[in-house]
Amino acid sequence: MPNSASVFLPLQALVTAQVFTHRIEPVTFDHIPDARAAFSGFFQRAGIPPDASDAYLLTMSEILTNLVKHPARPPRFAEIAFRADKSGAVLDISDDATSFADFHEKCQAALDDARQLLPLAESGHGLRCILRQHTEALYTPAATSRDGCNHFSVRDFTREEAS
Amino acid sequence: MTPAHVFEISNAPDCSIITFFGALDAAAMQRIKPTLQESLSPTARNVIVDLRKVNFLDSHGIGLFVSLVKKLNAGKGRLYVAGAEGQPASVLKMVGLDEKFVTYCKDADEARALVSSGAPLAPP
Repeated sequence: MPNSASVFLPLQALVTAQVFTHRIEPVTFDHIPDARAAFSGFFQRAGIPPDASDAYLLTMSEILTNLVKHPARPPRFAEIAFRADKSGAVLDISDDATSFADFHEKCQAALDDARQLLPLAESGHGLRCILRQHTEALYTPAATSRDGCNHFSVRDFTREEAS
Repeated sequence: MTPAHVFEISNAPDCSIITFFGALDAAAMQRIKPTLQESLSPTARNVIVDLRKVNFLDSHGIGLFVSLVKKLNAGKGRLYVAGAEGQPASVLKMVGLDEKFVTYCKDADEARALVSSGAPLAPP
C-alpha cells in the first residue's frame, strides 16, 4: 500500500549495497530487543544515519511485536532481511504464522485514524507508525508468496531516486 | 542495573515522577505495567515521566502514556514528559501526542517547577 507522504532516505553516501539478515527462533517479546540490538549494530557499522535507521528499528519492532500478539497460530520463526543502497532501502520480515486477514483494510483504517489525529487511541499506533514512516508497505500472505511464508515489506527511496 | 530495571518512581503529594531506563517496548511494558500502576500514588494529580535515559520507544510505550493521560485528565491533572530526545521524541511527535495532551519539558526539574508553581494545566 503506497503511503500518502513519501519518505526520503539520506543514503546517497552509500558506496556499496548494505545487507542485514537475522533469524529469530522462537519469536517472543524477550527476543525482540536482541534483534533490535543486532539491527542497530548493523546500522552503525554500515554508516546509515539515525534519520533512516530509527524508522527501520521501530518498524521491525512493531512487526515482530504484532507477530507475537496477534496470529491464531504463532510463528515458529521470523526472518529479517534488510537491504540499502544509494537508491533506497527495503525491509522484509517473513514468518510462518497464520496470515493476517484484511491487511489492506486495517492499513486504511490506521491511515484514516492518523489523518483524523487520534493520538489518544490506546491501540493501533504500531501500524500507524509503520505506515507513516515508509513510502510503501506491502503484506504478502503465505498462500500467495513464493516461499510459503508471510512477508511484510516496507520500502523507501532516496530523494534523487524518487524524483 | 539489571535488564529488568526499567523504571523508578518517586511519589510526592502533588505529583509522581517516573524515571524510565532503556527501551520502552512491548517486552518492557509486559514486565512493568502491573507494578507501575500499583506504585503510582493514588492522590497524585500530575505525573512526570523522565525519558532522559530512554533510548527506544514503541507503540506500547505510547500506549502507557495514553492511558496515563486519560487517567490524569479525568482527575484534572496532567502528564509532563521530560527529557525526550532523539528516537523517543520523534515517535511522540509522529503519533500526535502533542502539547494539547501533555506538557513537554527540558528535564524533570523544569517539570517539577511547573507543577509546583501551579502553572496552567492546559496550553494557551
